[in-house]
Formats: sequence, C-alpha cells, structure tokens
Amino acid sequence: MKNYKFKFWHYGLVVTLIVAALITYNLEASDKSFFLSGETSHGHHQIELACTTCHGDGFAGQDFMQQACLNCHAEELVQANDSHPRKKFLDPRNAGLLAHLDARLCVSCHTEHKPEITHEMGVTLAGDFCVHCHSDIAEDRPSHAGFGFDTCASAGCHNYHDNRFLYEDFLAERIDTPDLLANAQLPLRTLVIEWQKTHPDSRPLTAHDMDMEIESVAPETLTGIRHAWADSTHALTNTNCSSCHVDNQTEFTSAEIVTMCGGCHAEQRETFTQGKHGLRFSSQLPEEFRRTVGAMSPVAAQIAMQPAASTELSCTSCHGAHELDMRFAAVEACLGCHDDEHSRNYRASAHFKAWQSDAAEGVSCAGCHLPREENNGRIAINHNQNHNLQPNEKMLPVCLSCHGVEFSVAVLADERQLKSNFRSPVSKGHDTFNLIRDRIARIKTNK
Amino acid sequence: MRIRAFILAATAALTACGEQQGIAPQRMADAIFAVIEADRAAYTNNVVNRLQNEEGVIKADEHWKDTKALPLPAQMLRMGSERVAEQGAGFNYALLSQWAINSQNKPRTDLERQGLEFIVENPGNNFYGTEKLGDTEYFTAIYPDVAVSPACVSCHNEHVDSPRKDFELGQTMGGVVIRFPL
Repeated sequence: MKNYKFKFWHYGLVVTLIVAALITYNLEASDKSFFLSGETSHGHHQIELACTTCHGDGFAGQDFMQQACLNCHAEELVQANDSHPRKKFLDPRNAGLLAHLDARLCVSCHTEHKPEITHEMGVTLAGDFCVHCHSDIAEDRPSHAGFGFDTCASAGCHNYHDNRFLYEDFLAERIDTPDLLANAQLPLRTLVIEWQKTHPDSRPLTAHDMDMEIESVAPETLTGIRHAWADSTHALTNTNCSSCHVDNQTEFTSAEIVTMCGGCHAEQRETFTQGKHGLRFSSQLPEEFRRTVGAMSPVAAQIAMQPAASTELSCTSCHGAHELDMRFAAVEACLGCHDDEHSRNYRASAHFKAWQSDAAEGVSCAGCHLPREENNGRIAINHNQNHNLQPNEKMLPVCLSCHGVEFSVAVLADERQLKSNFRSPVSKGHDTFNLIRDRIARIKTNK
Repeated sequence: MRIRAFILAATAALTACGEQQGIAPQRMADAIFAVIEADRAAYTNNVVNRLQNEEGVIKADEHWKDTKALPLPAQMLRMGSERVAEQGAGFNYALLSQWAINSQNKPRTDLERQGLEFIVENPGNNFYGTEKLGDTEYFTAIYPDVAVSPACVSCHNEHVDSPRKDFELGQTMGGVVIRFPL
C-alpha cells in the first residue's frame, strides 16, 4: 500500500469536519447547549434550552422576540396595571426620550444571557435608568431633590411596571391603620364551599366507596391509601379513584400528573405553569421541549435548596397523591426543599407560631407565596409562587390582610426583615410616608 | 387659439394627475378632531356629569379600577388615543395642557408650546404647523380643549397636583394635538 503523506491542511480539514459534525449534532439532535450565548437569568434558566420560544428559527427579528416576551408576560403586565406600557410610548412626541431608552421593547431593559450586567428582576440597565425621562422630577416634587436616581425603584417607593399598591391615594386610604390589625385574617378559601353549593345532593364518599382494587399493591399500603383518600377533599367532593386512575393506570410521569389534575383544576394548572415550579410544563413552550426536558427539580434551582431534595415538581410533590394534606402542602412541602435564610427562619417566626396555634388564622409559606385571590366572589389560590415575589411590593395585598400599610411597606423594604423572616425589630416607618404625609393630608381634605 | 387652449388643458390635466390624491392633512385632522370632541363631550356630559354630579349614582375617579368607578373624561380620551396608536392607524393624538395634572402631559416640543399658547390666546381658533420629531416630519394640528361641564372645572381646580385652580366653565383648559407623518 502506498504510504500516503498527510499534509497539514488535511488534518485541519478533518478537525473542521469533526467540529462541524459535533455542532450540527448539538443543534439538530441534541439540546442546543453549544449555542447558549451566556448564562441565562434566574427567570429563564430552567427553560433556556427552549431556544425557539424566544428566537424562532434563529433568524427571527425584533418583532418576533418582542411578541415572545408578551406571549408569557402580557397578561401579568395587564394585571399589574403597567405604569409604563408600550402603548404610552407610541406617540411621536416621545421620539426624543426613546432615543435615550426605547421603552417600547422589553429587551431594552431586560437583555438575556448577560449575567455580568443582570440585576434584580432581570434588569440589565444601570440602576438609575429612571433619569432618562424623569430628570426634572424635583421641579414637581421638591421633596425629591437630591435623591439618587438609583433609589427610585430600589427603596420600596416606586416600580417601573407595578405600582398598584404604592400610589398616593391607595396609601392615603390606609395610612392610619395599626401595625397589626384587630381583625387580622387572610381570605378564607371558598372552592370546596362553592362546589358543595352547586352539588347540594352530593354526599361525601367513604373508604367503602373506593372503586378500585389493585392486586399488585400490598394490602397495608392499600389500606393507608384508602384512609388517606377517604379523609381528603377528593372523597368529600365525590371524586373516586377511577377519576384519576383511568384504565387502572398506577404509574404517572410528572407531566401526566399535571395534565390530569389540570383536567379538573384548570386555573391551578394555569398559574402553576406560570411560576418556576411548573414553568417547564407551560403551554407556551414547544411540545418537544416539554416532552424531552421533563419537570423542574430542586437540583436545578439557582437558590439554596436542601441537599437531599431531588424530587420532580408536579402537583403531587406538595399535595401528595391521595392525602391532599393542605397543612403539609402549605409548609412542610416548601421547607422540604427550600433552604435559604428566609425559609430556615420561618419556624422561629411569629407567623409560624400563629400557624401552629390555628391554621385558619396563622400564616404559612403558602399563605403569602400562593396568594388567595378574589375573582367574582370566589377565593382561589394562585399557584404561581413567583407572582408576588418581585418586586416584593406585590406582596402588599397579602400583608395588608393583617398589617397596617406603613408597617408593611417598611418591612418589605428592609432586607434584614426578609432574611430573618420578620424577626428583626421594626425600628421605624418608611421614609416614603414622611415625604408624602402633608400631601396625603391635602388629598384627604379634598375628598 | 385652439391649439393653445388644448395645450393649456392638457398641461392642467397632467399637473392634476401628478398631484397627490387624497384628503389634505388639515381637513383630515379637522374631521378626526370633530369625532374626538363629540365623543369626549358626550361622555363628559351624558355619562360623567349626569351620573356623578346630577344623579349621584357613581363617581368618576382617577383610580377607577380600584375604586370601581368611571374613568375620567381625560383618561377615556387617552385610552382611545393609545388604542389608535397600537393599531398603527397612521396618525396619533394626545390631550395636552400647560396646566396638566400629570407633568408628562405638558407640552414637550416647541410646536406644542407655541400651539397651546396660541389656542389659549385666540379662543375659537385652531393651530396648524409642521415639525420634525426624530427622523420624521409631521403635520401637527392643535385644537382647544374647552371645559364643557362643571365636572371638568371642579376636578382640575381641586386636584392636589393641579398647577392652576381658577378654571371656569367654557375656558380653554388645554389642547388636543393631532399628528400625521408627512
């Protein structure tokens, strides 16, 4: 055989072909991770490989990306009564302002894959971004003269999007309330009561009504399941085994659980898939991503989690498959995974003491982070636990169920209080009330 | 003579063909303002003033969502203008004033300042001009926004942030600015 002499460019060609093959395989058949242009922000990291959701075919333009943001976030912005909606900036008289900061596009302030410049809430601008349009604020509000523009949105006074609970009339209405209200009480859940009203003739099922027997399950296990189910709201609301175990199916993937529960609990599934717990099951994501990537797990979280926590997140991770223990779901389920300072301090807090003494009047993790929202007279649980987290003034409606507004605003703006789970001494109110106290008096006089 | 007349007629016809067809910006702006003004007056008088001031059925409030009240007439106008802008209808309009309660609604361009001053000093007259905003030339028309009901006057005179508190019924409180890109 002829002794063929390889030249340098031959080696170069082979290496190039191998690299090209690897890249092509990653793009077309694998997870596309080679194409991540930088670490993804905390809001998107768990869906970072659903590239086409935001980038389309890779050549999608600005309009596609803007619509991608809106596909997931538009509804929340409407709910927030967005103070800076895109439509406010479409008037050509804003041309001068838009030359500094194009507020018509989400990515002007929230650029992805830029960890080195990403701040809280995924903002990738310097903290004094308000100055671009409000540099003359001291002319209207002399009390604001000398304030740094990096404090507008970081001191608990204003937010760019959501100011529903920070505007003067709202504060004026509530300013004289005490730190702890006499009738402190979170809204009571009404879904079971509503169901009973619409099914007046229905009687609760008992352990004897169970409509499924499984030979493969040990008798003692089955007895435990039988009693757990019989004590649950499923038995109370006439939901028997076969409602979930269609065709005697006993093993379910997390995706199947979320789909199945959502069959009856559509609102809960919708809000669950909007938060980080269930985001990977969002209907906004490509079917292929949902099928291949699977459920979120504490292992993939960016915040502190218990080392042993590795379960997949679905409805049953918190509620259990049969017992539906709401007390467990509201505290133990959360603390089984979350291991940050705020979570670790909860069991030493006044909120937990109240929870231990009376679950109806106490405050659990879920009481604050899965807020009870009124809709047409019904109180339902919002299962998006990120809904009122950032900016944390969105938590105010929950706090105000039990506390005065000045106390609540001050506590939410105090990082020490958040970390200690509100066990630090409350030294003083929030400066925002000192700034507007005389204005509030005038507003009240004009009412 | 006939040849000259024919040449003149042909030239006139060709010139007319070369001109842009359509409605002149000023005429179009006047028509749009007529609609805006009519809707605004109808809402102010027949909804807000009647239900709030005369019959006391429901209030109009700046934070109408929270207070389950009626939107203020100025807010209704702005909601309409924002919808038009979102639809890309080819024109924009805004309600502005030297005495705006929200300072974002004070005049921002030189032509806005000039026009608002003109309509206040010349009641019953409109103001027309052109201006360049960004890279685009605009035809801008400014029409007086007159206090058509006691609700307008009382709200502006009593609001804590109102820079002027001596408005009277029938006075020009600001202007509706309509813009077309040229």
